[in-house]
Amino acid sequence: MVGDLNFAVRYPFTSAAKELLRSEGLEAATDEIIEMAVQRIIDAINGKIRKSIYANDEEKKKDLLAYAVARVILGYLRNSYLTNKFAINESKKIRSFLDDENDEVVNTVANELGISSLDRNGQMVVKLPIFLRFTPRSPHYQLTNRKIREGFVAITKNEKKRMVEEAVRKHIAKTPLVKDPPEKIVLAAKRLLAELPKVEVKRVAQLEGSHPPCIAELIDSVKRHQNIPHIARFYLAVYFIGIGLSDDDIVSFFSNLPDFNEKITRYQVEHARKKRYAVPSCATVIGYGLCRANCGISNPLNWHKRAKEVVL
Amino acid sequence: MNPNEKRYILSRFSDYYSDADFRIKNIERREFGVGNSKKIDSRHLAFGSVSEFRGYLISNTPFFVSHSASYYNFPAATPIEKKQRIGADLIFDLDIHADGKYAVYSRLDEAKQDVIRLVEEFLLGDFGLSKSDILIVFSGNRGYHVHVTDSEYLLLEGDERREIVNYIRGEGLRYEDFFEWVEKLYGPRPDEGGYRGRIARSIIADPTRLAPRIFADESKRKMFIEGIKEGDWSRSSMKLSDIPKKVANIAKSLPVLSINADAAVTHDMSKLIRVPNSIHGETALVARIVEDVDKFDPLDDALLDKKRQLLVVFNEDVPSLEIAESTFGPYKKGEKKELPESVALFYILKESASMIPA
Repeated sequence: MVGDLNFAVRYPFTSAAKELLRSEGLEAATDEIIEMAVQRIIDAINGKIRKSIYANDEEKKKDLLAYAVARVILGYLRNSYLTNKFAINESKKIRSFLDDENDEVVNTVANELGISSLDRNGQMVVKLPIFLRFTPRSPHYQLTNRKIREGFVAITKNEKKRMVEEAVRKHIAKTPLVKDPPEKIVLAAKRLLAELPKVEVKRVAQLEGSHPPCIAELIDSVKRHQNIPHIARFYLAVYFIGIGLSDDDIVSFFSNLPDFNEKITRYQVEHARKKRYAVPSCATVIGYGLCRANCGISNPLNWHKRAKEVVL
Repeated sequence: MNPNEKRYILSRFSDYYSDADFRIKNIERREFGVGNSKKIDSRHLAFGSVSEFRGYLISNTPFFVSHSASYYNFPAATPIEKKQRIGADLIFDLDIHADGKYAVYSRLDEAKQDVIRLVEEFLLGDFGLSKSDILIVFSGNRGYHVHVTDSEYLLLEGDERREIVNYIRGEGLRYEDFFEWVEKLYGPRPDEGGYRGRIARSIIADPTRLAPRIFADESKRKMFIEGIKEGDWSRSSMKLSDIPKKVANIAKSLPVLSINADAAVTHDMSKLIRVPNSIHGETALVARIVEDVDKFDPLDDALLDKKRQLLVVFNEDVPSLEIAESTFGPYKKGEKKELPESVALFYILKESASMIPA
């Protein structure tokens, strides 16, 4: 079952899928397949998760090839924004497939990514370094809140699926460099770039000043279109509100995030402002795992005050 | 330090390096850095073997020498992206902070006790690492470095390493959440892993810290302990709702707080760390690999040479210090003294004394 085309088309990063691709080869990439690959990347940019319905095996093979071609295009373009967008979209799609699978399939996919779990007295556990590598850095996954024993961390079935999603995202985000792809693919890549809305770092004037190291690092990550955890986004948002940025400026800044959704972001920023959420204290930021230096300011907002004092 | 002293000290360092015991795992994959005026003046050095490294140290003896925690395909390449990291040891830096030049040296045992807890409780206990993958090294000055070379940890990225430090420092721990009311007060059992088991074991070891008078009574103490073993924290006449808060207070001593969270040694994998068994150029103490941590005494086992003597004059007052089971000082400014060479070099490098040419 695992070796079949249905499995490969859903989980195109697995060895089963690669095996199928090897027999097909990139030469099989027709104009139609290249067009599908380009569309798949455009879908990712728009955050659209498209689950295909196939009439026959031929269409499944085409879809699988389109994934491979999309990765070649990304490997050729080396555009971190596009690659991160694609990685997030594909990993979310895979997560939605996993939610409908039985344990055996989930385990096969997980094992393939190096996430093997064991059963210890009815409790699912994974090795600690594996847990660290494939969980998001958020309070829910903080080690201090976890049951840890002899190198293993207890997890739930759902958390395991979340780890697979993260592992897929990381796997795809590490697209190998492709130097000289076939001419057809080069042309498609160029066409893709031309069709893109200009992707550039949206700058917000007030953000050019001085910020505490934790904030500065987050701002830098966002500018580089990296994905940051939800708690970090919340922290940034209330901090920005705290230093007096407008909702428009904040939303515009967050549009650099690879999974940016304007409606949701705007709602959340407005909500945070309406609720008057306080900027968390340094102690809380440490708890989030986001603290980066011992600044001795007790609240991140004091950075500005101190910075001013130093200047005077 | 005048040029004569400098020449003398480096010649003694060079002698030491001619037969120093280096055990650098995958030496050909490491980046090296050396320093004289600073801890690192130049980096991006690489050596193909221990003998090549030794040869370099003998002829170009530096005051400090460090190597990368990371393993690279091209350790000498610049800029750093071109080195191509393969993985990195997980390194912890534990040190003692004290005011004054010498106060820290009488408190090194505190750092050692924390190293023991880090290794026993966290690395061998919670993380299930094996002893052969843990290297304990005296830093040569105010603390210890612990190197973890387990292959599964090599691939961790910076944030993931930071999460480990947060865990060991107990950041964000809420002991109150370990307890739950379901008609009775339920809490952690001693046989659990992590902080839960640790706090239960700590309370069982001495319940009088919770309620000195109640648990002075042996039968009450026993009943309470038997309960905790099953996760039931209700078997006492204490006001039960006070227990979580009191436990949280006692538990403050469980994390290892001397682990340096700021110094980036753990999470910044481009950092260099002192080469185990090399000399620290501010103290002339050897950053000694610690074989038996319980018996290790840095101000004895890390001394360079115990046989030679050297004549020095003190240029400031220096408090007394226990070194190698003897008491040295206090010394007064202007005092001349013949000292074991390793001790004399220590004071010269601390800029408290000068050599008197023979």
